[in-house]
Amino acid sequence: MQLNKQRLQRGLSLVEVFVALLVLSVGLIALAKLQVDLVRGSSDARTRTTALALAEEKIEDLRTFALPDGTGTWSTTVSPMAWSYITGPAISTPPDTACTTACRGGRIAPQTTYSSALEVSGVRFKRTWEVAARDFTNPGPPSITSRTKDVRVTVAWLNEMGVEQQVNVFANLVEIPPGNVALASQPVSVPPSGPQVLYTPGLAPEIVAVPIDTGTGKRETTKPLPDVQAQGSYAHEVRFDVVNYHLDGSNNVVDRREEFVTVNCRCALAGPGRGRTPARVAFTGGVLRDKPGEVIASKSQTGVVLTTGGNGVSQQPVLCTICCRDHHDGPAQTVGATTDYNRYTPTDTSDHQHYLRNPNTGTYTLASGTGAAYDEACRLKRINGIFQVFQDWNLKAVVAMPENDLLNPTIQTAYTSYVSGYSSNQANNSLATGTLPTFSTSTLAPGGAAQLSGRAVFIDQMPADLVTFLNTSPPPANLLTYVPFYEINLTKLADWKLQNTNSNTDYVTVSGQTCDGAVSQTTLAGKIACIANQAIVDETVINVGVYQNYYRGLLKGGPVAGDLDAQVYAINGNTSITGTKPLTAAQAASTPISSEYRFTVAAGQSISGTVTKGGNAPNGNIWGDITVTASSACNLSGTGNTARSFTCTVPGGWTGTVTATWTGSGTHTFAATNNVFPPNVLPASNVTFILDP
Amino acid sequence: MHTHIIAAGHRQRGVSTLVVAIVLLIAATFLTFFAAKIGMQEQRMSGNDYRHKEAFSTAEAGLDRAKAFLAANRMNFTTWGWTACAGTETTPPCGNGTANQFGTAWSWINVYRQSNGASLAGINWPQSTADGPFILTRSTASSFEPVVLASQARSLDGTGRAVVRQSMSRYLVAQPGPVPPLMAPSVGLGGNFTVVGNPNHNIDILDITTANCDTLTGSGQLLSIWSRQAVTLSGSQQTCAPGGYRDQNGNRCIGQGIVDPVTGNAPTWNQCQCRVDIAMEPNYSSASAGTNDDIAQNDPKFPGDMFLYAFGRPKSAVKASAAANGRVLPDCSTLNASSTGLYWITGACDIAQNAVIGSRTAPVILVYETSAEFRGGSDVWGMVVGADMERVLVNSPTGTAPYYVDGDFISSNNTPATALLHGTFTLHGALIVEGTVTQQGGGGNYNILYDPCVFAAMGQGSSFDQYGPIAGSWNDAL
Repeated sequence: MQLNKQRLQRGLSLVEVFVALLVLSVGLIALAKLQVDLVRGSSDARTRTTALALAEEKIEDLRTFALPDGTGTWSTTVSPMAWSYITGPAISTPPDTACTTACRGGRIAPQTTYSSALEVSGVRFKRTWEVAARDFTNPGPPSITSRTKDVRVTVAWLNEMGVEQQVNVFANLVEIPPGNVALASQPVSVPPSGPQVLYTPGLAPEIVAVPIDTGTGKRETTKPLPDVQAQGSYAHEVRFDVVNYHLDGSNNVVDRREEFVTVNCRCALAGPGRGRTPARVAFTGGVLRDKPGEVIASKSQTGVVLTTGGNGVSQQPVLCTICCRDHHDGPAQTVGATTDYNRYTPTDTSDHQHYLRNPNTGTYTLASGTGAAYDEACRLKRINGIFQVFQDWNLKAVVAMPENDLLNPTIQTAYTSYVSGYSSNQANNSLATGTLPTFSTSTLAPGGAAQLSGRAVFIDQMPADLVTFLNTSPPPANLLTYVPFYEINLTKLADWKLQNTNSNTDYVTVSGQTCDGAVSQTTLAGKIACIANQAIVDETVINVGVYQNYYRGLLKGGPVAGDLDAQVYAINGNTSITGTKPLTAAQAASTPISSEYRFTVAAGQSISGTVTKGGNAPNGNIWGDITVTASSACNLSGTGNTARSFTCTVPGGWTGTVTATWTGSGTHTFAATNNVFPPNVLPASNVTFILDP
Repeated sequence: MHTHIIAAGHRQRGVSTLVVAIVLLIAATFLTFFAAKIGMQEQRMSGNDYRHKEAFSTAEAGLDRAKAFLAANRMNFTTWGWTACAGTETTPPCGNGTANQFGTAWSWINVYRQSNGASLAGINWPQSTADGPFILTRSTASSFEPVVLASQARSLDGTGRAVVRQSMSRYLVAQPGPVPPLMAPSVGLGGNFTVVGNPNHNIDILDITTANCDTLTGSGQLLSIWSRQAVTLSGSQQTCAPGGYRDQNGNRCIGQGIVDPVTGNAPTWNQCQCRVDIAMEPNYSSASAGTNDDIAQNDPKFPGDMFLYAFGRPKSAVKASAAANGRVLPDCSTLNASSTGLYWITGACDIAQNAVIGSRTAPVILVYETSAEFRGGSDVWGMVVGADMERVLVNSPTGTAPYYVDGDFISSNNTPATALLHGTFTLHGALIVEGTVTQQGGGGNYNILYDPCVFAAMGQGSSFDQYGPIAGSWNDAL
């Protein structure tokens, strides 16, 4: 049993070894197979990771294009770094790994065969890509296309079984160069206010600035300067600027400058043609601006300047070319729900007609048919540097006042407050006209003079959106900056006349004599006063208080004491600026816009005396005349060759010279006796007698 | 007993063989399992990596599509249906998935919805299209404020998730303040020099577009020359308003072959000049009439850093931008009529005779570092800027004033940027020189014409109105 057991145990041991070997080998073989699979799997994973990295490398490479656009011509050949250089076959299934369309873009070349492929850890990788343009376009305007490219990079390799494996990575490239980071990251510096244009404000009393905001902003109009280019009352050209400015430090700086030229012209109808619609006020972007006229290729009516022929007027302003061509209403254009009639006077209900005025009879003839002559007046404004015909001047109010009152700061402030209040009220559709300041009283002596000033407020027709804006509640701050109002000195352009105080009938004016500085008391005999309303001629020099070439609004006291109203008046329209006759019979018949200023002419003082001959005076009538200077009336009395007496009416406080003249020759002596002067007014010693020679 | 012992020893030896084998087998199995585990781990990592990269590249593609959509539709930016962030969301766009990220100051749009799906066409977008990509902004009123683009994507099997965000900014290559046609610290010119001024002296160039450049009005104040020092005109120099620059038949001169809309005719280009007779617009300034208010001279507010005034950004950033677009060139020899956008010339810029550079609708912004020479008959459309790279601030009175308006600038360069003008040269736009402007030999006519449409074109189009990523803004933090 023991032996048997021992032998059995030995035999078992051999079998055991075999069994152990069998078990071990089966186990190990299985393990080895598992191990191989594991190794292969993990090497496959490693290869796939490598392939992915290669694909990403290429995508990053493609992103490094430098030019946004291949159209750049900085090189004669397309740069390899250009956006347009990124090409490849279309994206397809299965991926096109042969680059049937050249694979380009970036610095890394494609590999389409394994023989040329990149080898990483013993594995060769093909690397190709496909490209599809995918643009985003917004039709605009402005139309913007933003270009992108879909890119799919395919990296392929052969695994150990010789089967091709691939990884595909999809990306989208956008045409924004990565280098744009420089400007995008740099915040833009707010530039300083642009160039400052300095302005020298005009001087009172001719130019008055109206405050338009709560700061130092003001608006003023330079003095209108008439330029008469042709004979009679034709071809006037009046230029002035309206300037908005404010105080910056110690300098006045221009905010806005409106250059106006108002002309009147003699034109002729020219039939349909090319022309502009009226320029007008616009409210754009919350700012008061101009809207330029629109060029219409075929307006139904145009005009040309008429310088020759029957009704021609030579030497018209050059800007009449634009005036005659464009100052025709229409065409009506429908914009949205509203119809724009393109009329020069927006309140007109029909297109305006053109008339020829007969200067002798004052009658108007309708111009009809091409070639018919007519009178025209245009308001031109320089818009974007180009003169265009603007909608007509719209006169709202005039004010007559003594010119020197504007030198008084209190009255000047009261006047500008009136203008700003009036303009605000008009903008707010309020009928309130505001309160005129109390002007100083004028009392003229006989022969005394006073210059009046006639000032006008024009307010342009405002578009509906501006009116709505101005009428919001509460009203917008600095309302006047949005109101197209113009305060213009019309003293020398409007008409003046005198009226009785108790009625509105015109006071009889001086006939045959201009009421200027030289008018004599003799001419004014029996009159209270005269007022100058001379024909407009060229006026080139502006000096305070100096009226260079013609007189308007100048009062002169006559020998009769009394009160009168001096009236300044103008008819609404462009002719109120040119100072010419109205353009239509309807305008001529309309009530002028006027303002009156009451003044007093005081009674004069009488001076009298007697001039006698001296002892050696010759016989006979050697007396010439005795005159008194300062344009006062002086009457002589007496005849013969003895003593002569004189009586003169002079203003209170007059001082001057009485001159006696005589004819003949030789040296004589004279004596002035019995001189009587109002003792309460005039010291006798102030009157000097010169006994001539 | 002995044998028993022996026998026992034998039996024990036999048993131990099997046991050892089994133990070995078990050990090998454990080793193999361990190796397998390592291998599995490696494959899982690789798989995770792959899925992440899949999600990531999809998110990146979504981000790029959002950029493209934003860039294409920039003009409609303010009209998009922005949704304000509530400040409490934890999911994109306002959250990052776990916490709120963008507060109530931000608003967002879903680019997919905004584009009616076009933005994701062609992308395998494995998640809901309600998930973006998104554009976030703090200012829905201005597309020039920086925006954040966020894109979240998943891998195809839904297990990988990636979020990428990037800030973008829209900018203009040049964003000048109001400019006159000629701007220089000092202007010393002779000959027949005509400047047609900017009719609206302080108009904001950003307000001018190609649609309104002919009709947008402004201050009405003409501005021809802006100079730090006094300007003395001599010879036949003159300035006039745009309406005064006409040919002998009264056609307005904008450019060769450009029809005057009012007359319907193109001008005879070589007859163009400031005409008093036809335009009834006397010269603003001339040698005989003196300098008028269209010449802003002795201006204490003249910007010290003119380059900054012309571009809104310093030289370094503008030059880097030019370089990124491949636009830093040694000279001007390759420029022609189809050149447009920003060009930075490092050497001497010599514009050849009768050359035409740029166009009215696609002008150039030409920056030169050393000198520029414009030869006869040539036309340049755009803004020419002479940049003095050695210009330094030597005396800043306040030290903080932008542009150092009151400071003194000098150039350490003995020959600061100069512009040398030849006869019958015309620049349509503006000449801004941080140096001197002189003329060749005193002869010929040279003209600088301000044209608002040129500046309008400089504010539009992909050459000037660009998007760029903000440095350091890209992140993929979940």
